[in-house]
Amino acid sequence: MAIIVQKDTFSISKICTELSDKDNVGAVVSFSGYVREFSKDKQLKYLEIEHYPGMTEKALEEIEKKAMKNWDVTDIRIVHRVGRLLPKDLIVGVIVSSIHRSNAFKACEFVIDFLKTDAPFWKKEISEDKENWVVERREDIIKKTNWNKKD
Amino acid sequence: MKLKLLFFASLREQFGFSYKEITLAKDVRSPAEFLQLMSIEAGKDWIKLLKDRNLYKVAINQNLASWEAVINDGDELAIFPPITGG
Repeated sequence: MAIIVQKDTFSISKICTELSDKDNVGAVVSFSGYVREFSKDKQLKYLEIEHYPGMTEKALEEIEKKAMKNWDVTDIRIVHRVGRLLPKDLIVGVIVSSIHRSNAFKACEFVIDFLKTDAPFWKKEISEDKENWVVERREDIIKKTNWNKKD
Repeated sequence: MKLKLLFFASLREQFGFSYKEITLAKDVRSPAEFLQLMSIEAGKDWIKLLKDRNLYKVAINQNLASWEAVINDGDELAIFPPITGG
């Protein structure tokens, strides 16, 4: 298990290879999140991502632990960027390895769904003539609630 | 009673700071009581925050908590808008 919060970009494929090189790995599933070019109708200039150092790592560790407990996976990596990001930039990566694919798919979706609501990151969108803090999406809350029902 | 207070995102901008050590005139038992005390002592931004508190989240010692949760002397109290990472 590992969690990295950093300003710089990173390579999802490098982490996939690292995980697939380990023993007893038959599947590696990854989720990559990117900065969209448009916010509503506005062309985005850049995104600022803020976080709560200390609590962020704690919250992500908790999510990883829950996923490891719920599914038989061999490893989980979470990388999340902070600071200024441009349209099309990579924001977040969740990479999960397991013996069979099903567990890796489910654990990966679980991690990104909980990261969206429980890990303290905030996005601010800056366009040509305005800037605004992103508001939470109802869909994200529903996704998390659905996992809790399954528990 | 002393608290380490943290604001993030829009609240950090509104209040003009992200971290402050606060010494309270009297003890409070919960984040909700803390807001009530600050709204009496520290002015209109706090009155607004008290009124809108259900729009915001609170964490005590880096764990998500409720407005009614117990806080103790020396605790780290963070107040922030809903999380929007990923």
